[in-house]
Amino acid sequence: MLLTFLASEAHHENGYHLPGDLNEVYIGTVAFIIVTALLVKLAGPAIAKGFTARSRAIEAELAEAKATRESAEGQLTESSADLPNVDDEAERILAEATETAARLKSDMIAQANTDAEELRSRGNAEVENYRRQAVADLTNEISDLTRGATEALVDETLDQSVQADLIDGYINQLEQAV
Amino acid sequence: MSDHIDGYARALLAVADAEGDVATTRSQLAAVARAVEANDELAASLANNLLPADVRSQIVDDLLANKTKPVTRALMGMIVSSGRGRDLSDIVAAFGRVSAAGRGQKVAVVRSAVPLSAAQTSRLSKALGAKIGQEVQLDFVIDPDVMGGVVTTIDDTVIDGSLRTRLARMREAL
Repeated sequence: MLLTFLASEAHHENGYHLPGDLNEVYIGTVAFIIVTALLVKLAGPAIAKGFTARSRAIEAELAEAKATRESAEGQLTESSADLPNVDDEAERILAEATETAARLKSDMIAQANTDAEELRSRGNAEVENYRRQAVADLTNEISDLTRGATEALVDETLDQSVQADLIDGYINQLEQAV
Repeated sequence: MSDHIDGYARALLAVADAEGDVATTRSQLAAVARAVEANDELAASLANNLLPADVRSQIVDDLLANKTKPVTRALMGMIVSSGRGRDLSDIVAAFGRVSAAGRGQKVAVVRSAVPLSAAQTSRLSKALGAKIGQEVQLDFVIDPDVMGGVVTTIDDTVIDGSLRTRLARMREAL
């Protein structure tokens, strides 16, 4: 075709498109065919092989891209599916944290109240002990003073008559007890 | 009562009985024993067996000369010269119990701040006898700590009517 085109475009001296010597055309055509055949014979497999390899590489890349895309789509789908769960989980964790904080707060308040009550009770008990001790000390002191004063008074008033009366009283009690 | 104290008490009773006046002897021995008990130095001397027996006996003679009956002085000398000075109070007390028991009596130790009159002694003896159902032999002890009233001890029984105890109860009540 190319040769025909070239031949159609050529202008030779004879006014035709083809050269005047047809043998030249024939020889050129044959040579062209031979060269073309050699090219097809010798370089064709390599070129075909290169094309095949290139095609396979492209196919592999396409397959890999497809797999990547599918994986990404899968992850996207999974992530999209998990998204509500994540929200639920976050809500649950938040609820748990809130509950834990509330419980801790409640426990701490209860413990603080218990400690305060214990301290108050202990303080009250100590105050009560001090009060009782003070009352006992005061009572003992008053008792000692009273006893001392009474003994002193008794010593002063214990004359023979009183002594005799005391002994008579003792004997009277014995006689009445019989 | 240990055997040796009981033995001494019975020996004293036998001698006093032979002399014919157990009650006076018992009373004088009790008075002497209380006097010795109240005097630590005298008690230590009479109980000191490192002193020769005749020295201890001489102390008794000097102490009781013309103050007690000869039999009382002799019995005291016998106790201290035989090395039983430290048991004097126990022996005399046992003598009182043994002599009282021999007459079917109980010994009542009567402590008072002042001596009892004869009438009071008689009434007390009768009252105590009626209370325990047995005749009692009274041993009197003048004890100023009693302050007033009487404390009577018969065996392990104490009948406390002392002013001291009343004051103590009043203090406890306060």
